[in-house]
Amino acid sequence: MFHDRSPIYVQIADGIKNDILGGSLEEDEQVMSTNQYAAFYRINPATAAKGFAQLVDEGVLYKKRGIGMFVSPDARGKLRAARRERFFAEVVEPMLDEAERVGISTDEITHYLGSRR
Amino acid sequence: MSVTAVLLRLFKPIVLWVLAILTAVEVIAVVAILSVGPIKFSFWLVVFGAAAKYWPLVAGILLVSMYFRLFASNGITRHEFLRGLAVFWLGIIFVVAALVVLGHAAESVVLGLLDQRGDGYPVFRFGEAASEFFHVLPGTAGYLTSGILIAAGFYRFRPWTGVLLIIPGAVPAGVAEGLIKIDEFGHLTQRLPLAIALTISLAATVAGGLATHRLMRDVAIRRATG
Amino acid sequence: MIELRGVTVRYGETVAVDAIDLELPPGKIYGLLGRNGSGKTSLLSALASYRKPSAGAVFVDGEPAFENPRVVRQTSFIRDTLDLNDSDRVRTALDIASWLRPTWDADYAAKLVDVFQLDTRKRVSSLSRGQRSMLGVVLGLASRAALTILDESYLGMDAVARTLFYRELLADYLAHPRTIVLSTHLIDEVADLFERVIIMDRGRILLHDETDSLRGRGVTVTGQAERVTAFAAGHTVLGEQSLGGVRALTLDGRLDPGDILLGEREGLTFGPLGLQDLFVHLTSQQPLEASR
Repeated sequence: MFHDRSPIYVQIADGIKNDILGGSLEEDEQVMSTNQYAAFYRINPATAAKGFAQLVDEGVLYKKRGIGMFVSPDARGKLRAARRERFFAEVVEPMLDEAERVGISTDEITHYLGSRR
Repeated sequence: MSVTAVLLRLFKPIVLWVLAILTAVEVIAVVAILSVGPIKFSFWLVVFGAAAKYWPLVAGILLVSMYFRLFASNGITRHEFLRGLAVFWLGIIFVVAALVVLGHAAESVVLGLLDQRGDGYPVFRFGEAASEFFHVLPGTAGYLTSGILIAAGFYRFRPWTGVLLIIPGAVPAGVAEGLIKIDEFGHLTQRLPLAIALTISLAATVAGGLATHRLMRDVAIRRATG
Repeated sequence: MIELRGVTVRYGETVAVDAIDLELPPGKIYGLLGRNGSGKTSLLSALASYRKPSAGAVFVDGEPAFENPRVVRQTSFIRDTLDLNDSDRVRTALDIASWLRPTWDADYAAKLVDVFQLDTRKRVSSLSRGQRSMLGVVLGLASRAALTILDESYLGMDAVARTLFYRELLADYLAHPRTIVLSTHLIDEVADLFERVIIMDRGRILLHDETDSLRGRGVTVTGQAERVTAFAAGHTVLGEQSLGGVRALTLDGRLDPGDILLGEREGLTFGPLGLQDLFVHLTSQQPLEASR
């Protein structure tokens, strides 16, 4: 469920972001409470709370006092914009590195991408 | 619930069993003796007189070696346990010594009604009850204290040190045993005037209590095994 | 707040706990890790006032804990050997706890007994090692003590029982937050439950940190020997392995993502280090200091 590469709270935040981007969490929809989350995933509630707190800081979630946490109305748009910025650096660049290592030219790649349309 | 109340609850089944067995032994033995002829001594004073020393000795050992741990592991401090133990100690010695006298009284009355009291049987007299009681009490108190103290020595130190400490640990029992006693013929013995004998015996017992406190007040809670 | 100030536990010449200072903010789950003989149980005995420290003292909310009824009443320490009489029945052990502990929850104890399928009519002596541990867990959790200490409370439990144990522990902690200290050797199984981890080594605290910040703290770098060595410069090396021209180094500390990217371009591979592996590296070698 969780891996050792990064702190669990980061993984929790990333998981919820993916849920929002993927559409399984709608905007203004209530998310699980930290305790529910902790019980469900068998993790320490403080760890879960840290993940949620980060999402609140980033404006992905907002709090309603005494009720719980909800997905921000503009969360999906914001997340998408952020991911788009990182797309080339984090996805395309490593791909090009690998292509260079195995000797695939940029032409071959564009040709492949063109043929998929 | 207080330490004393919990000790009472834990000891209740044991005490009832011991009483039942001793009473059964008394009844069976007296009936057997009476089939031969009238009884010339108090069987109750033989059996219960001995039990009034040795059972407190055993109980004292168990109180420290087995029961202390149960309290310590359930949020009771050493001092709280020792205070509860002191109250329980008082209860034991008064009840046990009283039972010696009351049992003797009952035995004497029943044998009297059956007209089976032989020569030498110590007929129970109401006026002597208090005297009998105070000839039993120091022994019971001394043995109970020694049991607790000896067990505390073993609890605190290594086995060999514990063995060495048996000697001073036995002082309360030894002093009481040497100074005051009652035998099966109802003879009351005190080597010194009763008041002095009682005082010395009490002093030995109090010293034993203080020594127990010194040993137990900051003792490490032992593991159940090893 | 629970504070240990200069706590030392000595057995004759042997120093089991060596002048430990430790602060435990309340309401958290702590994992206490350490190799056999590292002093975990001695430290816990002092923490629970089962043993008077040879030097130093434990304070709870500023009050000395030793022989303090208020503190002791709110402390539950479950040792692997269990502090019960073998001849008593399970029922009796639970009854005694209910008589003496003001915070005891009998309904919850009954529920746990059900969960673990313990027979309360059995004598303690007839329980299996795993069942003894389960009884210990029941006694520890149902005490609802402000400070609950479970010392290797999983011994002999099978995987199913351990899962039940962890689930109940977390559920009850969520419902009744309190300070729980768990010592364990099965690190990977429970690490996710710990808010903080304390690692003991030879009577001292080697590390006390948030569990989550230890995750991804250690990294294994593998590749061509010279490149790996060059990359590792300036990092604390926890362990190393070589095979032919290939070298694998375990580094302490979180690496900069940029450095990793650069390293990967040079053909190095990076692997994360789990908490258990980190623990093994931190506590296994004698010449730890030398490699720093």
